[in-house]
Amino acid sequence: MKRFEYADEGITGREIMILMPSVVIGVGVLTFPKGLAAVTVGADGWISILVGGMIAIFLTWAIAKMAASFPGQSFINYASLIASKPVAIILTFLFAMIALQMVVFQVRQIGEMSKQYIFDRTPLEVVSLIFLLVVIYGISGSRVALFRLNMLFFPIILLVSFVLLLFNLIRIDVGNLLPIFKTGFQGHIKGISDVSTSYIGMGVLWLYIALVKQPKKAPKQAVIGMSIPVGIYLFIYVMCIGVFGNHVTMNLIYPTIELAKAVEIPGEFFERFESIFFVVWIMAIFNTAVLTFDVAVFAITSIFKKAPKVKVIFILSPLVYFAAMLPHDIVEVAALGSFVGFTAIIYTTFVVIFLFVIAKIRGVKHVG
Amino acid sequence: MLAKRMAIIMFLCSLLSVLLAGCWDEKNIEEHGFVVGTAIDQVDGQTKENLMIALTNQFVIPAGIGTPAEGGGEQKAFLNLTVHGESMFNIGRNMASQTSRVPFYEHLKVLIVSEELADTPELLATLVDFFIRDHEMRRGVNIYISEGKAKEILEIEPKPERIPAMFLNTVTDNEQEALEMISSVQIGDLHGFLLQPFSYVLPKIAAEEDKSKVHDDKTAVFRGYNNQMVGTLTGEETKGLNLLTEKNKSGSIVFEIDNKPMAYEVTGTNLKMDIDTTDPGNLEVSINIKANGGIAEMFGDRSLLDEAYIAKIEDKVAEEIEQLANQTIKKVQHELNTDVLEIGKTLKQKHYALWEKIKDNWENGENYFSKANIHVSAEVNVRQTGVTDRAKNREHRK
Repeated sequence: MKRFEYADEGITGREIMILMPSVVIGVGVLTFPKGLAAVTVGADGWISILVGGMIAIFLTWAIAKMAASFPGQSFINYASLIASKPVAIILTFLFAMIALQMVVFQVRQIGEMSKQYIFDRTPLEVVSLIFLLVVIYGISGSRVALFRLNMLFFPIILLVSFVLLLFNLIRIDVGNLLPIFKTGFQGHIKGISDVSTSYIGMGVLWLYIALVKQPKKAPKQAVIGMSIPVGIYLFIYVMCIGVFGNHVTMNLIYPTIELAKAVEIPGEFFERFESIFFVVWIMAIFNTAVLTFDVAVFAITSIFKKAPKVKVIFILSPLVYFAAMLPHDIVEVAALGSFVGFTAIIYTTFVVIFLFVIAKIRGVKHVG
Repeated sequence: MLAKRMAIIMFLCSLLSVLLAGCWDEKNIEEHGFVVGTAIDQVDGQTKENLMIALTNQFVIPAGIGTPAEGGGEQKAFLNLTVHGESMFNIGRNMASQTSRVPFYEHLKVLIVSEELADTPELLATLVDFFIRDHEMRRGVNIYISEGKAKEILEIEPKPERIPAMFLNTVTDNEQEALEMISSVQIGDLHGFLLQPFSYVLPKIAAEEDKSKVHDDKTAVFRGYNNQMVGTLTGEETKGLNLLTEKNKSGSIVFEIDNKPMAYEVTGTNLKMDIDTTDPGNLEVSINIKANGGIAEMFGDRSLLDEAYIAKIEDKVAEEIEQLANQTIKKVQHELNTDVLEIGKTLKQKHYALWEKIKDNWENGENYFSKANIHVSAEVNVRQTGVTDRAKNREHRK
C-alpha cells in the first residue's frame, strides 16, 4: 500500500490542545447526566463535574509535565530510565490493555446507541463491525494524520454542542434547578467518582507528548484543552436538569440525545436536529476510538520494536471486536463502562504518583 | 502478481457491496402508515380487573389531503383504525395484521386518553409507558384527557383542516391566549409528572355533539402520589389556576364597572409565593399576583385617559382576580385535596429540609396541604388602553 507522506511528522502544541477534548468527548457525554442526577439533588451535580474536572485537569498537567521533561523520548524509554526496564514494560503493557478496553467500550456503545435510535433491525454486531473497520482504516495510516483529522472535526463538534445548548435555552425551567446545595457529602463523592469516568483519556499524553516539537509549552496547552470538556459537561448537565428536571434525567438512558431530540428551532423550518447531532457525535466517538486504539498500538510497538504496525493492528482488532460483543445487555455494557473508567483512573493516578516518587528518590530528571 | 492482487481487491469489493448495501432497516416511504393521533379507550363492558384497551390510530391518507388549491376531493384524508388488546405490545401486533402499512409514530402529534381510564390509580402511567419508552416517539407529543370516549375526538369533522388530530394540535396552539385553558402538556412533561410526587393537571377536551369542533376549556386534576384523576376544573376555575401557577400567562378577564362589562387583557403575570413555615401543621402561604395588561374592550363610554378611573379599573380587576383565585383554591384544597397550586414544589425548592420531613403527609395522612392557609393578593397594572380613547361619544346623542 502506498501512503501519503507528510512533510513533517511532528505535532504542535495547538494539536495537543485539540487532542484533549477529542479524546475525552465520546460516548460518556451521552450518558453521564443520568448517573449524576441519580446521586445528587436538583442541579447540584455541577459541583461534582467541576471538582472531577479539576482533578482531571491536574492529572493532565502532571502527565504532560513529566512527559515533557523527557523531550522526544517515548514512554517506555523514560519509564525505564526512572524505574528500570521490566517495570517500564509492564506499565506500557498495562497501558495498552486499558486503552484497548476503552476502544472495546466505545465500539460496543456506538452499536448500542445506533440500534436504539437509528437502526432498529440492523444487528448490533454489524454496526459495531463497520465502525471498527473504519477505525482500523484510520489507524493503519499516518499517526499525524489523526491529529490533523481532530483539528478538522473539533470545530464542528463544538458548533453542534453550541446549537444544542442555544436552542434548549428557552425550554429551561429555572424551578428545576432548585433546590441548590442540598446534596450531602456522600452524594458528592459518588457524583465525582461517577463523572470522573467520563473524563478518562488524558493518559494518551504519556505517549503523544513524545511527538510534540516544542514540548515545553505542551503542559499549558494540554490544560487548556482539558478544560474544554469540563465546560461542555457543565453546560450540558445544567441544561439537562433545567429542561427535564432531576427525576426525568435520572430515568433517561441517553439524556443528552433526548436533549438533542428536544431541540426545536423556532419557525419550524428545521426539525429533527438529532439527525445532525448523531452524525457529528459519531465523528466525536470516532475520534476517541481512533486515538485510543492508536495509542494502544503505539504502546505495543514500543515494546515489540520489530513488529510492523499493521500486523499488530490486525492481531488486536479481532480481539477488540469479540470483547466488545461479550456483554449481554445494556446493564452489562454500563458495568463494562464503569469498569473501564475506574481502571483507567486508577492506572493514571497510580503511574503519576509512582513515577514521580521514584524519580524523586533516584534523582532522575531532565534527561535528553 | 498484479492480476492476483487485482482479483483479491475485486473479491473484497464485491463482498463489501453485498455486506454493506443490504440495509436491514430499509423501508420505503410508501410503506409507512403515518400516525398523527392516537386515542386510548376502555373496551365497553369490561371490568377494571380484566382490562381490555381499545387503541385507535389515526393514519394520514396523503391522497386525501391534496394541495391547497385543488382541495382533496371527496376522499377522506384520514383513516381511524381501532384494535383491542390487553397491552400496547399486543395491540401493536394486532394492528400490523389489519393494515398494509406499518404504524409509524415519528410524526405523532396528539395522544388522547379517556377519562374512565385516567381515574384508575396508576393506569395512566402504564398506558403512556409505551409512548415514552419507544424511540420513535418524540417527547413533544401533546397529551389530552377526553370527556367520554377518546375515539370520538379523532372522529370530528373540522373545517377547514381535514385531519382531526392536526386540527386539535393547531386549535390548542392558537388558544394559548385564553385563560380558560392551560397550555398544552407534552408527553415529556408528563414523564416528569409521573416520576415526581407532585400533583398535576392535564387539559381535558370533549367533542361537540355535531362533531364540528372540540371543547377544550376544562382541566383534569391528577393526584401526584398515585397518578389518579380526581376531578375536573371548569373553565372559570382553570382561569384561577392559570393566574395562580402561570401555566398560561395571557388571556382576558371580564368584569363589571359602572354596571357595564369591560374586558381586561392580561399580557403577563408575575407571581410571588411566600411560605411561612413556623408551624408546619398550619402553613401560611401568601401568593401575590402582579398582572400587566390593557383594556381590550369596553361597553361604557367614559374616557380612559383619567388617572382616577384607571385606578378604579385596576382595583376592580384585582378584586376579580382574587375572587377567581380563591374559588380555585377552595376547590382544589378542600374539595379535591390536591396540590396543583405547586405549593409542595415551592416547599421543596425553597424549604428543602421541611419538605423532606412532611412530603409523605402532604396530600394524605396528616394532610398538611389542606391545613395550610392560603392568602391571595393581586396587583393590577393597566398599561395600554388601545389605540383610541373612546369609540362612542355620548354628546352627539343629546
